[in-house]
Amino acid sequence: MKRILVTISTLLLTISATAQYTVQGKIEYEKKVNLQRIMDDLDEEQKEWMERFRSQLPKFTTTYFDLYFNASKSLYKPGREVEGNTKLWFAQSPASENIVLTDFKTERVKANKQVFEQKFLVEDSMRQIEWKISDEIRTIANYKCRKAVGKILDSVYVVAFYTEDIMVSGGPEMFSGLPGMILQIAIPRLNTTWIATKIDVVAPKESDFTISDKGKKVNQKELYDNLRESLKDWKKYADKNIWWSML
Amino acid sequence: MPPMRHLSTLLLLVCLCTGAMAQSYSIKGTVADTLNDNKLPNACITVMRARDSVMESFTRTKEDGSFSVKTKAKGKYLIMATFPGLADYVDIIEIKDDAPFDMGLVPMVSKTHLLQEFVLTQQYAAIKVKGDTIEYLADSFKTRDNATVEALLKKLPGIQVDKNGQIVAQGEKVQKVLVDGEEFFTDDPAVVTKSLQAKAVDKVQVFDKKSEQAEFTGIDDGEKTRTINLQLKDDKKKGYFGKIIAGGGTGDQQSFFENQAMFNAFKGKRKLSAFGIMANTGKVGLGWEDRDKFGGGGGGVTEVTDDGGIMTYYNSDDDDFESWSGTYNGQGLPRAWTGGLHYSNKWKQDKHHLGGNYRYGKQDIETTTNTLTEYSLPNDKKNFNRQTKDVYSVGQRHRGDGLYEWKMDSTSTLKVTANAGYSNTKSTSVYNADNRNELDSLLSTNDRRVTSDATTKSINSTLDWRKKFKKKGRTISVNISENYRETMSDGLLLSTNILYERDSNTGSLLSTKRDETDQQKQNENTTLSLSSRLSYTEPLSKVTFLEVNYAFKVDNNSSKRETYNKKNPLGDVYDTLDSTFSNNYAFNIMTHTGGSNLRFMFKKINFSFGGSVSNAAFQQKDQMPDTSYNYNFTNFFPKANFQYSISKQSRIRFDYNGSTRQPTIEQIQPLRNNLDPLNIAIGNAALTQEFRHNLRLSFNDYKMLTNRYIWASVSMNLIDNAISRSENIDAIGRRTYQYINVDGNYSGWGYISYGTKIKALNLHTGIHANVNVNHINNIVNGRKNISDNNTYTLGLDFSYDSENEKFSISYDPSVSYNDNKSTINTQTTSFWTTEQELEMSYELPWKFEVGTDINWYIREKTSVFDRNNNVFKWNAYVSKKFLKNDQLELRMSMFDILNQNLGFYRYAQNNYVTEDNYNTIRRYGLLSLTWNFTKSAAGVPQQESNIIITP
Repeated sequence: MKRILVTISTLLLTISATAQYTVQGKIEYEKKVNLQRIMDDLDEEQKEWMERFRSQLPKFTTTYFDLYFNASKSLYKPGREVEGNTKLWFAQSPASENIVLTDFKTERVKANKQVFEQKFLVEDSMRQIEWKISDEIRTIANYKCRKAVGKILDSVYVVAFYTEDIMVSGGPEMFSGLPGMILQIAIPRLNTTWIATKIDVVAPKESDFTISDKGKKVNQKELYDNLRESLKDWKKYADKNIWWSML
Repeated sequence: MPPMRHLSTLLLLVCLCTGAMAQSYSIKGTVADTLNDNKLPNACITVMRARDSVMESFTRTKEDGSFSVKTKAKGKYLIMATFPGLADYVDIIEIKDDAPFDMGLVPMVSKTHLLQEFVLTQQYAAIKVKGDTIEYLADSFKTRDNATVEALLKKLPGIQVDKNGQIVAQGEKVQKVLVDGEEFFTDDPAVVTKSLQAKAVDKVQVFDKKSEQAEFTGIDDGEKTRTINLQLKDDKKKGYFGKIIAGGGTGDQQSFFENQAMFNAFKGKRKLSAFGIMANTGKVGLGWEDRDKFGGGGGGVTEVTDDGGIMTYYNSDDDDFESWSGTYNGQGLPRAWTGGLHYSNKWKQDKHHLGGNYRYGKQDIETTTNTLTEYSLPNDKKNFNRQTKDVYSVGQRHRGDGLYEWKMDSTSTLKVTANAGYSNTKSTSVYNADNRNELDSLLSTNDRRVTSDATTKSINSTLDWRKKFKKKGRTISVNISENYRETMSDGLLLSTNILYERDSNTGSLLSTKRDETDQQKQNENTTLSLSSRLSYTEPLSKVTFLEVNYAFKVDNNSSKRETYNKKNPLGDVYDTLDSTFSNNYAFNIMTHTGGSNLRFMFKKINFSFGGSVSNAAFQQKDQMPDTSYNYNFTNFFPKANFQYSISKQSRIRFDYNGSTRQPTIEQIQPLRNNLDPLNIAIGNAALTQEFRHNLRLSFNDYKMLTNRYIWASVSMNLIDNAISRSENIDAIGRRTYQYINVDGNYSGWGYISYGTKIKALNLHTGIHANVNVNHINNIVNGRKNISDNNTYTLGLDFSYDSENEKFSISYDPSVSYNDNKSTINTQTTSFWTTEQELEMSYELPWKFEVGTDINWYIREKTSVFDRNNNVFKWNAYVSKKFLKNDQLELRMSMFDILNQNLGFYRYAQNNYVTEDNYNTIRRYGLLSLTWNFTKSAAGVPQQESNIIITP
């Protein structure tokens, strides 16, 4: 009996030792914005007004994105439509339908971002984030993920869960640079999470990596400066809109 | 040989150079499964700085399990090797010199699952074990005031907190701290426990959270995370805020006062607020800014619409005491006392919501109005009516309302509302009028004194039930409402008319006729209506929705008017019923309405069409001579709309609404009335319904980044078979009118505005234009008349705010041209008016602020309207703020410094043009002190108060 167990476990281990890592495929991310939390951020007096229709609001707005990837590049773009998704005016954010092409070989990113009326073509090198690795582990879409916490734009914390079992250092939006694929991102200050809900291990077609060359050409810094200047009059409402646009 | 040596020296140099440019240190080793002695390819090697776990670099092992990875600096590093199915390997190394650090063989072993079960040794009453969860009641463990959650956790048996804030519960490290079940409450769990107040916590729950996958699929995959959930108390937020304003001053007309006090105390979802206002400066109620804070929303209903907008609508039917802005918009000098109380509470996760309001209002108004009306008559004849009206009224009102909303489950809601009101208005009006022709010969004079004491009582209630079905878009709603209103009034009419009969050719006076009335009028009206409405929506496809509705309404009205004369003209008893001017009617209306609407919703295009049909059976019963009339009306209401979202900030919309409009009973069968003896109505039994088409097209485009906007709208009203008037003005200026059906009436308006920001000057600029047209057919003294009353306006606006926000200025000039023509008369009445508004404010050092605003109106005189109506209204203030957070403000303001303010209204309709001048508040100075106070004991850490705004 004991021998059988050992044999089985050895067999399993042998399989796992030679097991193929995932190197290409398609990931579907579910992006959720917590509407109720957006309201918690308001000050007491603004909340008085919000309280009047709070009960009519759903807790989240949900949208889907697809990430096609192989060893050399990835493309992130809006995925399936959700029926009857309430598009609340105050919960709408700029740059919420981005298309991002990341080239791991040249370490460059290219993105189509619609920021209000302006279409931007962002071209830049891949973003460098100082990631703090933690020992928290969770399973997402059957992949074992490890938690890492980073920061963008000096103050916006990003919590990422990445899996080493996918040998591509990519992720949703412009997030990348961890020792594996990012399957969940949470940005507490934007009350938003992206989580992988489905992973298909199929080779993407070359046509899955197409991106438009239209739009005002900028790099991330230029985009930031541009928005800072344009949204100058928005005072305290500018920050979140800029953060959304810089993801 | 020598050249070779040179080459190797060169190579060496190159190597040294690159090394000097980016100094790096390498770590190497080989990863193997020690049990099976397999070299592991593609194992992930992550290098982290030992002091803060920040990732330095990572790599993957080659086919033979070997790896080499670089770091930028010397020092201690954590090396983590991971491979699927094997336990993670973590080691700490220190790079001391330039030599590559060789880790040799990195051994990895298979995972052993050690299930750690904990045993609860002690049982406290304050601790509950619910399945896998241990729950602590926070209040059972004493902590100091202002203690943090960390201090609370230290007190809980089985939980330890180390100096770094790491929490260990029942022997296992806590990896997650949730707040109200929410994971990403802040970035770092330690922040939560350190910043959240222990008092805010209701329960501390410790459990092993299953992986998201397991929660999703329901299949336990064995992955568990020790988790603490902090369930916050419902009354976590508690405090109060409010303001008190005391102001007094003096002016040319009277002394002025403006005192306000408002207060809101909240504890969790429970809210109690009160306010009181007394002022004679035009402030009559809470404005929209304060209404949500202190007035419990003012009875408005806020809803999230299908397309994601948020809409608030107020039922303004009985709110004559309060305007949206909180300032008096009417004529005359108001003195107002207003007060209110509001209570609301929600409990059981907001499933139950109870609210109530009480309002009291008292208003005294003194008005003097001078009116001049010019009537155009056939053959270039004219008629001029001059009237002075003095009114003094005192009104009082009480109103109470209540609301209960119950979210029965996640799909259905029941809402019940009720309100009751009582109001009383006593007024005395004195009219002096004379009527002259184009030769300025006096035709008639009328002096009237009308007093009235009217009381209205009302009780209204509604019941609303809504249910959403599982199928998205399928909903049902039922609405039942009851309205009851009773008005009783008692008053006196004292009137003297003198009619001057003139020869129609020479104009010489033939005779005068004097006619006096001294009567008591008692009116009683009651209305009770009950209605119900059922509405159902069904998704026919993903993009098509059908709505059907049916409504049924019953109205029961009674109207009694009694007029009494004096038997003895010198006495003061009104004891004889005057049957000519007395009547008693009962109206009953029963209406059935059925409608349906089909709606298509695509991503960019949204359109719908449908309509409703209603049948109203109308019964009018005359109670005095017992007769009754029956009418049966069928109304159609077709509608359609189309919307195209060109982009998120740009859309175009078209709306069509059609409706039938029935003649009123007054138009068919007028009740005899002697309040105004120079205007006599005649009924028209042949009058039929009119049909109105309303078409509206609008476009808007807003560019957020450049601040450029374009808004444009056009609306047209075409009326088929319009109900218009046929008037007969006799030689003494007495008007007899009757309603008739005519064709060809229309009205419309257009609006376009464009604005942009001139970046270099930080200046917002805009231009707008409006056009209003009215084309009306009527009959004057038997002759067909067509009147065109058109207005054209062009305006500009500029606003500038300084970079430091200390200085702001805005200037809005506009000019209008008013053009009025009637075909029965060759003369036209046309005039220009302009309006300019300038506003400035400037923040000075020491928290001083000065500001001024000017409204300058220039109104062209005409040959008839030759009064000077130009006004230069100039206001200014200086203020200083004191105390922490500018809680106290002292303000000295001066209103209408040049004492020029004037009530003015000139308008044209059909074949007449009217100008009103009325008294209004003029120059006064006011000294006021405002104190804003707030105290909030919020347990939750303050977060950024940013919201995302897109229109």
